[in-house]
Amino acid sequence: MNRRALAVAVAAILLAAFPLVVKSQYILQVGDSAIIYAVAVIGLGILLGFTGQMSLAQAAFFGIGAYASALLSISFGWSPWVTIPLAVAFTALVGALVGWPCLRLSGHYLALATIGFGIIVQLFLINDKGLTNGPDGLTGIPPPKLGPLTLDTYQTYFYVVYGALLLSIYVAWRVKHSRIGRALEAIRENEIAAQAMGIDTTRYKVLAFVLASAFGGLGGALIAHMTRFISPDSYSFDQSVVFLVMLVIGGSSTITGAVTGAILLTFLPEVLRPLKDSYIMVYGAAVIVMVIFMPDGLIGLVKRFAPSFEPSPPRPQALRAPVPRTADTAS
Amino acid sequence: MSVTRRTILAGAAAGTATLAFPNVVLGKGEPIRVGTIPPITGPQALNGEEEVEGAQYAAEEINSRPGKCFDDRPIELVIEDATSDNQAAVGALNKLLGENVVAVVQPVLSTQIQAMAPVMQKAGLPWMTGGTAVKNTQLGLRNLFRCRASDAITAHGLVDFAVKEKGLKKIGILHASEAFGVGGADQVETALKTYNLKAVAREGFPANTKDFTPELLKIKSAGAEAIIAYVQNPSDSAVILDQYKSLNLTSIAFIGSPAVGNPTALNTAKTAADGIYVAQDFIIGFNSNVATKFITNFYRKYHKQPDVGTGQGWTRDAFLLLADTYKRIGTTDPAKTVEALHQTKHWEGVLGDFTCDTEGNLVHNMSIGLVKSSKVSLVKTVKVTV
Repeated sequence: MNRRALAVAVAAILLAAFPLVVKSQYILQVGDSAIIYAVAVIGLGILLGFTGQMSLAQAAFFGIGAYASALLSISFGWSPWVTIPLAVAFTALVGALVGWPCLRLSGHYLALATIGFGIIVQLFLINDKGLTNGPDGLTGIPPPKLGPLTLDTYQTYFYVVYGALLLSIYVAWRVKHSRIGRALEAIRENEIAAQAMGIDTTRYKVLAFVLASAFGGLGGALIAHMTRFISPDSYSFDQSVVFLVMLVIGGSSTITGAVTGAILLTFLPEVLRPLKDSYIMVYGAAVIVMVIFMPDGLIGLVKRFAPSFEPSPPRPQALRAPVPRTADTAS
Repeated sequence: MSVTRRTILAGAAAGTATLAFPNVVLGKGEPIRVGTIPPITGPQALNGEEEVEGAQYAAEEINSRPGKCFDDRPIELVIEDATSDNQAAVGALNKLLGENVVAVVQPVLSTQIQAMAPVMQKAGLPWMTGGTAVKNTQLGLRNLFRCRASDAITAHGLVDFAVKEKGLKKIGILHASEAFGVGGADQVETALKTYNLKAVAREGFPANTKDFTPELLKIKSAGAEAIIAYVQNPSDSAVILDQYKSLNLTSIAFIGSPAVGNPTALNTAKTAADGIYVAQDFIIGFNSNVATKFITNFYRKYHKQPDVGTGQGWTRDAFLLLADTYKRIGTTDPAKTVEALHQTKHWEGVLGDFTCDTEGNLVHNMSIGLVKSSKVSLVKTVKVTV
């Protein structure tokens, strides 16, 4: 085991002690929420950071995952251990159905299409009262059980969300460092060149969209079984923007960035609570400062001072146009 | 004194009791910490500001009376911002619960109440809420109390007024497409059924709508004689009223939910609101000493009229009822307070008579007022007996 892997393993074990050290229900709840948001933001990172495709519908997938798992567990009495994976699968399927037509678009048009999808999902959740109970939302969502133990406290539920986070990090890391990951990065850098290299760009873009939706669905399902109440107002366009800001602030092209951004922006409003009604102003200013001075996110800043921190794979040099040697440059 | 096993055990028991029941052993004059979670930021910030004023007014009223709550113990407010988001609201609640509060007042948003319900059920503290969705008091929480009239009471009152008093049978419903608006519109339809009537039109509008012309004209073309509007945001109400007037729809009676009569909405709409009817938990001019005193003193403190519906009125009542209950039972023990609150009978607040039913509903009356020059005058009070 090399030193980097050892450091990651030690950090993971230390973090697992979080609910044993922290006793405040408030901090534990914010911590659990931050981890859940991190799962959704990692997904968005695969789409935006790895592939360079903009989506403003992550909150919609978050909502679809939440409602799917909640409805299955309420209507059929199934265990959340069954309904959460089913919700992830369902969200991925919706992602595929939406991604296929949408990913023919690019840039601003793709962003607009995803905004439209997000609004449709929220209106559906509000208006299809027979299925979703409308704006009143769903109550009585069961918490998961582990043998005789009901995981209905923030302490015990921490291990559910933490497990999901580690799994998400592992999947995203495997994707990033595989043939798929390299194809996605090639698409991000230059879609036409990637196509010329024989990459089926539509297929890979849809794959990235499906992965992003699945991670969003997982996050949504996890939050539904934690709060045990969901309503459509939580899955708004604003929430999608928050996910995007988390990713950009953290650093969009790395997994560490996605996790850091989610945790930072979940805790920031809580840290600023003493400022009462002026906190939004400070929060906004902090985000602007971070975007200006850290264009590559927090992780970009760390990398600038410690280049060995999460080294990026070498840029595909072959895709860059060769610089023609002219008389000026030769001299 | 020799240290025997018995003295050690007695000491340990006393120590445990002190930790377990800090409220019981607190001394005379010790402040009673009551938590409140208004939405200070976000789209509901206007309501939040009013609720903070209501809470501060109430604390001042309680702390200036002889004996304060009881044993000379004053109320100390612990305020946390619920924002307008459910998840953040639960966070604010958890923060409050970690600050040794003995009761929680707020919120007014029904979805936030339902999001907080699992946490509050475990906490067991008395919980005074203002959300009007019928479902709130049917969540199975014995510690939840509703300090305003439910949507069922308000909607039935509005329909009774339109159909029985005014003889208008063709009702069009205009509502916001969120929890409050849809829930209210459903209650209006239920109330219409008691008269064997059906709404001639039902038009919902999403958040941030700035043009209500299509909805208003659709209701007109359906032949409506009256519009019953369930709107939550005072800014939406102001725009709707302005367009109702400019489209010359004043021949159709306009009857609005409590937020339509919010002072900000009426001040913005100005003459466009003249002649409309609004539901209120309580309307200025109601013959009550408590309310008259509240309005006078509130004006002296804040130099404005209170919103006795969604804002300051019910918040003040929630705190005062808690304080009076503490005084009655001489303790702030949460379980005893919850039981005592269930015994509430004919307690007089700004919103009228408070009597607790089996579900924890305290208010069973609503009023209808007529708007003229941005002021509401009482037309009728509807009482629903428990």
